[in-house]
Amino acid sequence: MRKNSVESHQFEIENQLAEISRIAVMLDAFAVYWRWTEKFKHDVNLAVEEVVSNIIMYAYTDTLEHHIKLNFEQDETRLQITIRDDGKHYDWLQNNKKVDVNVPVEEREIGGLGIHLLKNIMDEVNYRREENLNVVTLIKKI
Amino acid sequence: MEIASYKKDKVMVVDVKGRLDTTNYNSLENELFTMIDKGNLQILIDCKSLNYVSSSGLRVFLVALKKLKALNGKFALSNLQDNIKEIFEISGFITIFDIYSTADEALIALSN
Repeated sequence: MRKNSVESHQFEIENQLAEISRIAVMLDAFAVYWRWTEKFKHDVNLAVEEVVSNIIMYAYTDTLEHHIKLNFEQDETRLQITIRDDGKHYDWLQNNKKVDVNVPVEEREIGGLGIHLLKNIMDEVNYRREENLNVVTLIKKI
Repeated sequence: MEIASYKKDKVMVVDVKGRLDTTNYNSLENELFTMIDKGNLQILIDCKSLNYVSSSGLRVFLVALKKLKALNGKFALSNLQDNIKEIFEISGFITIFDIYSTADEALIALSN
């Protein structure tokens, strides 16, 4: 047992949607190391994909290569994921309108689902701007 | 993700395997739209071997459902795994989609 200890793992991806497949591979390894359940791994994967795909699709105004840095830190009570990108300043967590899940299909809107899912499967979702970086932190209790 | 489809009576059954995410939702969307354009208005997605769906995948289901409803067609899903069922619940999709435990049940319902 690893008691009272915080351990962290990092990796980075390029701003290409194909990189999302690599996240799943990394999370498979973390899941073994930290002994996550399948459901925990599933929810973490989904949350990270929703954040990263938003960054890749909307954060960059140029066509250059950018790097998105992911840090995973776990102690005995929770996993904290920090995702940093150097895209434009955009707090999409705030700007996103609320999804109404109780309306009939004709009125259901196509957008906004990703952030709705993210906020529901994570215990905390926060955004801050650090100099030229957007920083999203996600927390999920173990 | 792997997509395989076959026709069972009037229903087009689409087996989707693996992960449906931002990297590949386009393929499923194109496949479904082509089917609908060819006049297949009763579509069943069998999710027995589908183990991951992100919001991009959910959007494909919603767009297909809206399109088929507008054409008086039918759209159903079967065999949702627990993790995916939970995502459907959070999204409110559980109530707007016709979801069946097995493909056979869904086929009976769609044929009626």
